[in-house]
Amino acid sequence: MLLDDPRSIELFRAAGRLSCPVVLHMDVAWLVGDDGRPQYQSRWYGGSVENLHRAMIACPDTIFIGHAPGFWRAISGDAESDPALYPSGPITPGGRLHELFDQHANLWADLSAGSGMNALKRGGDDRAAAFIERYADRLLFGRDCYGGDLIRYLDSLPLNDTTRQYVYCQNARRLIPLPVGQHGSALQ
Amino acid sequence: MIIDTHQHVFWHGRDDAGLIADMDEHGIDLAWLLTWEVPADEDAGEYHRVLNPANVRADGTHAGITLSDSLRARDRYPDRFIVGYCPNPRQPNAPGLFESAVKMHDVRLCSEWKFRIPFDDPRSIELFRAAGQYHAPVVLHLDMPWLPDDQGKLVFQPNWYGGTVANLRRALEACPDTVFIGHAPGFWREISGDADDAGQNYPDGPVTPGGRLFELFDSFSNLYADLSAGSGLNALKRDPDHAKQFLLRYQDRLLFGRDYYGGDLDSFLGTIDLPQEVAAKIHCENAQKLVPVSTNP
Repeated sequence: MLLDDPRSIELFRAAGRLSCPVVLHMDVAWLVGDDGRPQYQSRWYGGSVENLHRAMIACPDTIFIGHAPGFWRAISGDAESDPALYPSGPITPGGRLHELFDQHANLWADLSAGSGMNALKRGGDDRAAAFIERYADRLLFGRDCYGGDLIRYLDSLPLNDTTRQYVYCQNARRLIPLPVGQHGSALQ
Repeated sequence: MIIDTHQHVFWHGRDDAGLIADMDEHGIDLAWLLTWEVPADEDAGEYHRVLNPANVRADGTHAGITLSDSLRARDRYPDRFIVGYCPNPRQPNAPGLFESAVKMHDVRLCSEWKFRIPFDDPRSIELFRAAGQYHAPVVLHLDMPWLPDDQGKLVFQPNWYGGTVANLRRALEACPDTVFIGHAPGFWREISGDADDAGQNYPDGPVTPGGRLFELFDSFSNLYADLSAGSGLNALKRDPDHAKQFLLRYQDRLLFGRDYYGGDLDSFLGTIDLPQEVAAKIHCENAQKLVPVSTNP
């Protein structure tokens, strides 16, 4: 269903009241086909970033964590015309994500799965680092699978140590505070 | 000639012969029979007693007003009924179902759309586009998801349908080749500029300027409306002077319809001094343009 479906909105508001962040999986409902026309994608989730935008307006007290191909494609200005589910070309100006991050303090994102890393990699290392530095206090390390691909990639980027701490753990701890020392050295 | 553009059959205690008798009593020549396909998870318990008992499912939910019922009525009265059908957009390949209905059963409308998803849900958009390809108008039922309480706080309404006029607008934009016919409380409250402050489903009081319906009608030539049911009549009766101006202004896009038996709407229209040509448009000519029917025997 759409992110701004009234039933979603009611659930998001409840999450906000309980200070529970919402991780959103987005997959767009239409992709440009070979004939240049939008083709319906039956396995869509959530709608587009416009539905996300409206959900964030309706739920200002709820933290939304963006995730998945439908979210990350909006890093580039040509999101609506790119036919790929995982766009691979250079990032063009005007990507809606930047505007949404700037407009909505309640928008965060996790860097998990192929879509997160793909979005960073398509712009090159310097651009990826710049994006992460710009939104350092709202990006979250996450994997959505096993392995160390994202850690190796992030460690290869020219990031400030403070930024790394934010992304790897401090931002998550701000969202979901844990008692000091409960889980030992892993969180120190 | 009078065409009832919003009607159902085998409900409120009457069969198809009972509807014909009612139509004859009120001078109605033709009726559009619309389905209301009710998904099990949208079961409307309060409606069970007025619907066809033959459509109760094994799990106790009610399937609503079905295509089978409408087809049966049209088989018996082929010159009196046009059949509409709107599948649940959440069903796999709802557009394909609709297309089958057009080809197999000569369905002429994709109606009545009354579902608990936003109008601009991608599954609805795909269905609306299919309807547009077949020149089948879509009658939309709107019921608000939120209404203000006495303190102005918005309270969720669990029995909402379609969303708000904002969802309608996005559907109109996405489907320029589809004719949409607005209907029901969520649509008609927007005739008045103070719609956001009205806590009732059927707002009363004079119509104030700035109603969003005007901007929608003026911006989208594919938006029509039927005057059926309590909501349509209420939108007119709440301000009879305004009603006349409204009917004159949008005379090419308004449709006579009842969504029940009886003559309440026609009685009210009879109190408004409409020019004969305007009355003719509302009573039948607009409907004839949307769904042409041969009037020859």
